[in-house]
Amino acid sequence: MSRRTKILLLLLVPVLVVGSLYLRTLVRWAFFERRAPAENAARAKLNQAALQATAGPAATVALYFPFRADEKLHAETRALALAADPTDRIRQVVLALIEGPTQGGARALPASADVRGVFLTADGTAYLDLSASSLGDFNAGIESETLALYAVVDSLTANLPEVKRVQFLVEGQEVDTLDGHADLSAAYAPNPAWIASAPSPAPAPAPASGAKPVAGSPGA
Amino acid sequence: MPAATALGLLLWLCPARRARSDNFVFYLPNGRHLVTMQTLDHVHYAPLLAVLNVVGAVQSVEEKRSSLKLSIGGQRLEVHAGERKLKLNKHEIKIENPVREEDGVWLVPLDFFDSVLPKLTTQTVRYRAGDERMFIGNLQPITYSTHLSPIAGGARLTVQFTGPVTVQTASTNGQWIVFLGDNSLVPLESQIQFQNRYVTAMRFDDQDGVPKLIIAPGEAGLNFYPKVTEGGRTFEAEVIQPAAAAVQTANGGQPSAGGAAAPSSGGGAPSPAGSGQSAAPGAAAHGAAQAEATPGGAAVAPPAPRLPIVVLDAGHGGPDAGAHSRDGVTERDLVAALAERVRAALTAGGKVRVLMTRQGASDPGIDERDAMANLARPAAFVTFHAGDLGGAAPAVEVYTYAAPSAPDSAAEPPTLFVPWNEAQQAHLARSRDLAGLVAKQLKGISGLEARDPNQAPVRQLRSVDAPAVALELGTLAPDQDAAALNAPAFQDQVAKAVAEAISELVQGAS
Repeated sequence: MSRRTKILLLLLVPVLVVGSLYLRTLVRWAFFERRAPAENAARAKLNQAALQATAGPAATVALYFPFRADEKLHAETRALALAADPTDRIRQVVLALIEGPTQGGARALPASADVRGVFLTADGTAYLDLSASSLGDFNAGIESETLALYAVVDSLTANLPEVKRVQFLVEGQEVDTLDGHADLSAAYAPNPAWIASAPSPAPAPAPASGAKPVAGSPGA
Repeated sequence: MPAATALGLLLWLCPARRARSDNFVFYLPNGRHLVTMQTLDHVHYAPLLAVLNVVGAVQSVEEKRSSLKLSIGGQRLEVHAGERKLKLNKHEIKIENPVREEDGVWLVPLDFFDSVLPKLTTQTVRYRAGDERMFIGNLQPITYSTHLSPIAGGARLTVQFTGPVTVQTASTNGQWIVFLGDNSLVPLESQIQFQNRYVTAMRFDDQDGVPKLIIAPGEAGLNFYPKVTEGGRTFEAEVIQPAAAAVQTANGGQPSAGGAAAPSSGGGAPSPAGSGQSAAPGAAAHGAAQAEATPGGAAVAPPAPRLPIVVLDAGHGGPDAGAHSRDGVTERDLVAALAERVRAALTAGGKVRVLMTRQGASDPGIDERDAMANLARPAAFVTFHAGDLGGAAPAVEVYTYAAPSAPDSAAEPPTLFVPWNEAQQAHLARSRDLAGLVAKQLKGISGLEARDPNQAPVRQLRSVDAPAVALELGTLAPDQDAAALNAPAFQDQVAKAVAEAISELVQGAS
């Protein structure tokens, strides 16, 4: 073997090693690693933008969370810088609900839930498109599904006067039920019957004194 | 007398030429069209222009004294009265019977449908010579097979369709009508005769454009319990002799397969009418042809009225297990066991008949379960579920339906038909009565937190056309064990309480 060939081989070996490593990464990326679709990235950006909105007035919103002690919805107040756009405001309230309670209530929607899209029609119907993951980790049942739905509906209608009712979609489609029990075939109007008339049971602290009055809440 | 003879002679010389008129049904993808046929000299005729207008638009018509020329879809058709042939695009086509012109209406014999009509349209034409129906366009007509089998005190008629159909039943003129919805159907045999004392014949009829099966009972007073399974692919009807009021219900209390407590043995065998019965007290009221021996020659009790039907729906099923507990109890199995216990408790009294919406590993859809229930016209409907009710102790809550938003009834005037989505609305008051009765009975069980009746948008209740409640047992959640809910003694207590409440409602109604 000539000296020149040896040098060439010496140069070729690292090139081949680096090349095969790159090829392996490429194959894994293309075939084995689940890439986040562009749609997901765009949605995440939208959600992020809604959460960071500063254009609108800062407001104290009342979020409804179910309490296991009385199986009713109790208001929990939270300060949110509401966005100027109504659909962003809807997104903000739902994302705040997904974040979960801080004052002793139970989750209305699982932490894995995600908002795919929001539309608001002129007659005040908000179309809320939830991801299929919103149904995962969900304790199915007539009561738990009903509480989850009214937590969203009552939170939206109480804080955003432009929302009169909510039509739920899952993955962009109208579906029969949330998880086998609650009817999702029609839009939901606010239902004060599921809101507690008494204050939150212990150990939840009483709502902050600066809470925005909640429209449609009996006894509130 | 001479005048009558002359009239008779005149009628004999000039017989009515239109012996009868039937409809020919054209099934098209967008609907159905009926064309009235005429029978002249024992030959079926159809009006040519009406038929052509079904398959396409007739562009021009040129009528002379004994001929008609027309164009349809760029093709020229020429017919002559009295001739057994016609011309299509100048090509001669022979037909079996002559073209006729009666009172200005041009008539063609039915073999026109076979020999000429398919050439006038580019669409697929399905026609079987001799039938009075034709399928035009991309239609796959559903057909069916029929089976009649004996059951205790009656017979079970099973109709297996090749595709799903929607079914509604009615009873008229002593026959049962099974309406088959908007489906395109073609029978293999239009009429089937049975050598059976309970069901003697089944006929397919779509003469008015509505496909239906007409079932002829062997005698009057039989009870008819229809059921649809397999997503509308199977229709099953139990035809059962009603239990004679006093004698039968006192006899042991264990009902027959149909819950009708009829004691006859082998009565449903496909045997000649009237044979094979050892005792059938109810039959004596139906004439000499069905005369039966009665025990001891005693006076025959009148047949009992149709037993009220209660539909029990165990939620989920098949691959859908529903909620589950930490110790592996699934909602699917828990509620199936409970519903079965309620069924046993209800039928033990022999006063109601129970229809279960699911059995075994089946998982009918929500609407399918409601359709099954509505077909049976039940006195009550109960759907069983289990889920997270918050606490750790056994609890139960009974729900009636509450629509997510109030039905917009003011916007549309009331119609004869109730929208499917609003079927439960008319029964809400009775449903609340049932919920109250169930909750009251459940409160008597110690160690069970029986909550006051509640209202929720339970999807399963939405389209039930009967008093209906949903019962949720709890808590069945992944962070809790459910051994207490699964205990047979506990389930028996709950089942008896529910059965008692249902019986109270049903008996109150009757």
